[in-house]
Amino acid sequence: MLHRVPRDVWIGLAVIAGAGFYWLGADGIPISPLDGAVNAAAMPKALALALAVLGALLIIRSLSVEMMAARAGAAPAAAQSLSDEDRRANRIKHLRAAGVVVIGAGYLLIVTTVGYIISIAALITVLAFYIGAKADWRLPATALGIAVGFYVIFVQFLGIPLPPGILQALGV
Amino acid sequence: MEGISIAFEVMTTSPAVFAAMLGVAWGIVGGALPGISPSITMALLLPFTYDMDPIPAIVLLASTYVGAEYGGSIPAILIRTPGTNAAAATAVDGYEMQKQGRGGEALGISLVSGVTGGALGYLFLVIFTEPLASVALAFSFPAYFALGVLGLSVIASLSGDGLVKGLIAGIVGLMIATVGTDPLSGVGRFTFGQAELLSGIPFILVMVGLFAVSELMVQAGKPEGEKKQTVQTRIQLPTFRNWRKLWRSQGIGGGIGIFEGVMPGAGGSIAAFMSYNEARRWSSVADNYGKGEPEGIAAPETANNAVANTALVPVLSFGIPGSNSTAILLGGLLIHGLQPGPLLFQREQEFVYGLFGGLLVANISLFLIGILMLTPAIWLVNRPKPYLMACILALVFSGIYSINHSVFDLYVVLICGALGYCMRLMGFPFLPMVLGLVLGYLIEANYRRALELTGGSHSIFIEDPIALGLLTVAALFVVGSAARDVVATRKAARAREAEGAGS
Repeated sequence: MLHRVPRDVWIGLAVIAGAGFYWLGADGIPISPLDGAVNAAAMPKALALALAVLGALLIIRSLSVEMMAARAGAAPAAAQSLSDEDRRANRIKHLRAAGVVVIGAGYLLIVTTVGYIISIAALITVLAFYIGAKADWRLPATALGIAVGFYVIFVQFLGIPLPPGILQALGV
Repeated sequence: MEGISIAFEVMTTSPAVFAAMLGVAWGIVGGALPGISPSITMALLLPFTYDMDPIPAIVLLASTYVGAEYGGSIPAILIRTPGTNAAAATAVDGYEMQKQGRGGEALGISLVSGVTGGALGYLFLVIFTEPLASVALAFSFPAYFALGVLGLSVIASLSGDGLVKGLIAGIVGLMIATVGTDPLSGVGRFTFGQAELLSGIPFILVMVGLFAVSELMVQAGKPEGEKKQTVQTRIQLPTFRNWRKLWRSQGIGGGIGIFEGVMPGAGGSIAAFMSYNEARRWSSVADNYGKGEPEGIAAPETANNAVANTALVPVLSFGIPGSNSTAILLGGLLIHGLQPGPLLFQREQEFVYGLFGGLLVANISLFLIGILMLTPAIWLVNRPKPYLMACILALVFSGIYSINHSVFDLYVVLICGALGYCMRLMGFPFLPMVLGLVLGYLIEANYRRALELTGGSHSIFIEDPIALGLLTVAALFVVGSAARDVVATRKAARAREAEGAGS
């Protein structure tokens, strides 16, 4: 009897679900008169099947290890090493990591409107602060200096048109 | 001789020399930053090569790899924090020497050994790549398909005891490669009505997201911890007499590095640790290893710099990358429309010899640039992590935007970063996914073209001797790894059983 469902079982189930969605997408690929012996959907469907099989293998492998251990009376791997405190620390770690994506997405939302220099300076300020930089006047000042440096390299030196944003409207 | 004259001409008429030096300098800086591996250093540079001519672009990437392998030894020696995985072996004796006040000497040995390893690896690359590639001249559609499958089967040897997860990652890579317009029929696949997806998802976005953005996420999740120690030192090159004492360990490192570089999946880390162990085994001062022995730096540093050159052999000959760094290099080749293999040597001689010339410059200039870049590299190592990480994300966004001037691309990078973080969390390796992505087109297009020839009969893959041979080797790879996986699973279960019985 298993005390707890091992993590790889959940991962395997997610993989099988992903394979199902991918199969549905592959099924929707139109048939073209240019298709030869193998049409455009064949490879994606084969990949979906292979992924589902591998997902099932992952589940079987994980369950077999757990059940052998359970029969012998060993603690289940899933519950073995992590204390509540470890789990909380892990959760915080993952949330902090997700914060990087949120900050990055925030930058992408404002960059075309606000413009490159201001938004990249804001990105550096917020991200550096988020990762642990001290919040004082040096942080935004350094970020602005780096942003101007990047702007000079990309726009002036490499000739890449980065979004000007409101600076253009202000005639800067 | 013709190759030398082509290389000389390219070197004198293109910016390849500048690209080689710039690549080495950038590589040293990137390699010196803990957490920023050679592959991330190369991935960060990839967007900037997009609009460059192929020769300087690929020379820049390959030279970055050369520089990064040396750069990794700087923080390994100074603060016992390897800048690259391969430099972990260097940290053992390097940091001991630093503690004894011999850090400058250790850095000098690392640099000289790196240049030596680079030279040995470079010679092997130049001499053996073309003959190996010429084997592929006899390849037909089925053989190219089989070659792609063989490349994917490398996954098996790279996945350790997580073969199933490695294969899943490889399949996901192949799935990403199917996004966009089907190259044979012109039908759109998985585009979800987005015009930006019609041309597929460029490798570069996936690679930068997987390697660079996911690493930033990992770093953000780590607590700041204790204040970083600040170090300063000056490089001290070994005298000729001291250098001679290192020849045997450098020879061992060079030999192992050359061999491991060519082997798929081995890479610099394995070469470095193997050469450390072998140098110790054959050393007359084996007892000094681990206590600040110069040979303990010379062997791994020679090995990982030899790998940086010989790892290009399977990439250029067959288009099969054996490591993350060479996968990015392959991505760079494909971005510039260069298909590795024998035809590359026939049709793109200027490119191939230009690359060889550029790498020669990179390996030679490593010596000088290694000395010049030490101070800026140490300065960067001493910078606070939050600023470094924020600047890297800003660089990623700026570089990726500059390719297509598309914010959509940046969203893709961010999504790939999140995917990479989840993969790390769940124990999925990156390389199989990158392999699937870069080999996807080769496999699918040649599979379908082969079946066109036979009207859909798969017998062509058995009738073609090269295809059959390659598929057999691929099958052996997978079966061997599966057997190893089963043994490891049973061993783990038995260990748990024993634990249960004991409790």
